Amino acid sequence: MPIEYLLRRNEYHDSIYLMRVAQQMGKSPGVRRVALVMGTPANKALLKDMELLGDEAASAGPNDLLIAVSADDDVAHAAARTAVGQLLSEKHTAVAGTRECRSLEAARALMPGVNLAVISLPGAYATAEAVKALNHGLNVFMFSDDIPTAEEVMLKRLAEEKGRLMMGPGCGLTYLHQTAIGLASKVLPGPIGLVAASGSGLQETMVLIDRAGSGVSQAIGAGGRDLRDEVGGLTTLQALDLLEADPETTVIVLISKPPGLRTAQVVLERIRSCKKPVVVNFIGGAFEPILAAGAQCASTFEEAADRAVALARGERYQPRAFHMTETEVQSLVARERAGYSAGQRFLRGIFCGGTLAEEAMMVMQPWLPVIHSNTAIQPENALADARFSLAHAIVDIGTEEFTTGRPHAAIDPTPRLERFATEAADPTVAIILLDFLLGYGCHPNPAGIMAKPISQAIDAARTAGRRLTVVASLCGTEHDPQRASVQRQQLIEAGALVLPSNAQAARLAGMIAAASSGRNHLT
Amino acid sequence: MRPGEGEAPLIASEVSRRTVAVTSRSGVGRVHSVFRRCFNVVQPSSEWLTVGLAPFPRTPDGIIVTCTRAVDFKAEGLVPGAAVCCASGFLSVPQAGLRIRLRAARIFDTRRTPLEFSGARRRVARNLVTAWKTLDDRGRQEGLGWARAVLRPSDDGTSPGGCDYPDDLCRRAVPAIMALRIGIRSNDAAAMQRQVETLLGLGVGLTPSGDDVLGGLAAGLFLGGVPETRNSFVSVLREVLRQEGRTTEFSAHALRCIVDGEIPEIIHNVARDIGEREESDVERAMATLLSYGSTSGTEIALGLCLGVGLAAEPGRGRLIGRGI
Repeated sequence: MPIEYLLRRNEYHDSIYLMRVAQQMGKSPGVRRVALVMGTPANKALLKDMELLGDEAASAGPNDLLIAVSADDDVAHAAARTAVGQLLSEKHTAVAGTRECRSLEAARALMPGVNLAVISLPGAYATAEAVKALNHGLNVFMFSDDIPTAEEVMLKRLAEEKGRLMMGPGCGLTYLHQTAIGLASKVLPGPIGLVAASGSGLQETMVLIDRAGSGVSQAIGAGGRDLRDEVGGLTTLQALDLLEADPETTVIVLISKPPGLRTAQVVLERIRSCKKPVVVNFIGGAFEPILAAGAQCASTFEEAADRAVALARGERYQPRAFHMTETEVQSLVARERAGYSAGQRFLRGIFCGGTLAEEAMMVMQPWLPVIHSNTAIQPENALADARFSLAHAIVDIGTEEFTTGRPHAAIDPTPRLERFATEAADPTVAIILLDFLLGYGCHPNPAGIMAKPISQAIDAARTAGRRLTVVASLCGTEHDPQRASVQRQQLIEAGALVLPSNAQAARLAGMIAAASSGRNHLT
Repeated sequence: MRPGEGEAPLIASEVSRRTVAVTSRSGVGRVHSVFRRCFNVVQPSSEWLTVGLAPFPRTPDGIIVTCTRAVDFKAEGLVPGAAVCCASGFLSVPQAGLRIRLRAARIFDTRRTPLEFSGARRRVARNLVTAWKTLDDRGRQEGLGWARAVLRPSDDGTSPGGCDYPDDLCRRAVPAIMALRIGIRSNDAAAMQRQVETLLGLGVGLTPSGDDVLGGLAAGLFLGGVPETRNSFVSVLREVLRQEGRTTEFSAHALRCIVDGEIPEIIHNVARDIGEREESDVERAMATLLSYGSTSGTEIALGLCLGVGLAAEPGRGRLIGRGI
């Protein structure tokens, strides 16, 4: 009898209600058995007793509501799915009093204290709504990215005039007063304030600050183009003022791709006059102007996090390449290299986070000077068609060619699953490098979705006389709905090497790739 | 967003000692789970708060709110994940426009000490019969409620055993509870661990049925005066709780409180009345406990009666934990 599983993360109902839902579902035509339980090991054992346990139930955690349905056929399963959705959401809407509004005016009337509008609309409508929100005195977080630069400048100037923040367009996340907005992780509160024109860079730095035992006061996303000369760093400059004035913030971190020359001068001048210590990561940009502005310079997000934490604690920054010893790293590299067949020599990266992809390419440069990419650092290394890799390649699957008409890759893992299957089947590929973004708004179980394909690909390579190395890093915390430790465990069990940061994962992958293609190690 | 603008704040009438420490630090947590009369909050530091509408049991992390208007937290727009701020003597959920004034609330303490049962064996035996009878009469049938008839000791002190279980939950849980009782009597840590692992996280709801029974049992042994030095059940439970992912976060936290001697008043009162008061008091205390939650009250009461019974068994009080 086929069994289907539905998983509702972090959802709690009282037990009697769940039993009644199970009873009611059990009465549907064609449905044989139904169980609604929290996904604890004890309940999985119970499901086994009930002959309702299958592989798909494995990803359920103890805080997830796991619904197992045994039914005669697909029609009965579909009916059961609909029934459970209705039964559980009926209760939710009946008593939870969800507040839905069809206009900004109605939302403000319902919640007079509200001061932030989150806008995620097709570009054609997003600007108009942002203007309305700013005119209503609201700060704006704009996820939408299909906005002309001129409109972005107009919105940011309007925000400045109104004394409000315009975060975006193309702002992946922001973290204000311990509230995760967009695709953000939940981190501990603390003394470090961040401003960034890079979504995944901001996320990675926040996460690494949290893992280092410190915390974040505010993390303000400015939108990916904010430090271009056309925009002039309008939001970044406002955010620096806010963080300097914020009593909870003692250290400031600024993250961006290399800014435009004029904008860099203005922003660095502002940093020079800042009364609080600042750490800057211009992702591959020049160090000298940053140091001349009196700021600390970081070349990776991990270094930015470590430097900021050290400053906040009044300690000296201690550089580190790996969380392992040099000997452990070398033996890991030798072990992987020993398993490759003669034709295996290439590394392929499949990234959800655009800035993480760029960081990976920069970190790997000493070992792999030429890496092809759809977001290549050097134009001559650009992939002609992002759908097809070439030699060593890193693909950012969060770009438009992969996401048009579908959610971002951090939400919908389908493009990456497809790409992973292609790369893993390529007999010239030795290493696949992956990032995993966790947090509110991201896919509920990104590692769980990839775990089976990873273990199957590793097994298939072994059967074909090859070895496939999968190196991964997780950008998320224990406070996220997906739980970083749970995600990590799934990847490890699938056979992946999981490193504590994107920089370390890239460094290790680069070293293995260089070793497999006969290049000398640079350590 | 400023919390609760335009809304009159709710007033906390009582707060637990532990919540005073948590709420006196400015910070932000998250709504974890919401029910009509209470909601749970988890702080980044893994500390918990339970906000309940009076009358509400005094729990280790409890904030009891009195209000003059009808309040249904589910209808207040509270949703899991919403930010909860503690600042300036207020606890607020800005997203739901909810503010709770904490200043001037009375402070209660849920730290317990073992009760003295040894001088009142006859009273304890009589009151235990009353407690089981009340459980039988007023307990719920759902969850592990059915098991009360099977686990209730007969006149000769044994349990009936051997029966047709009504569902898979009981089929799995009841033999484990029986085996656990034997394990506790013989202080067989390995046997106890096997059964604790079977029961922990077993069942539906925020606090699964197996957890509620284990919590009642731990409270019964602790309050019945069986120290960890004499019987390793509490140590075993504490150890299993250290293993992540065996039960829901909230339930694991609630059980950790019990094994640390922080026991909700409604559980403590039943044990106290069994040891010190009259049958009518026991009935009242049991009725209060049985009305707690949905099936939790019945399942905690089941564990508690088993635990107090084990602590008070003739001869067992001295012998329990000596490897007999």
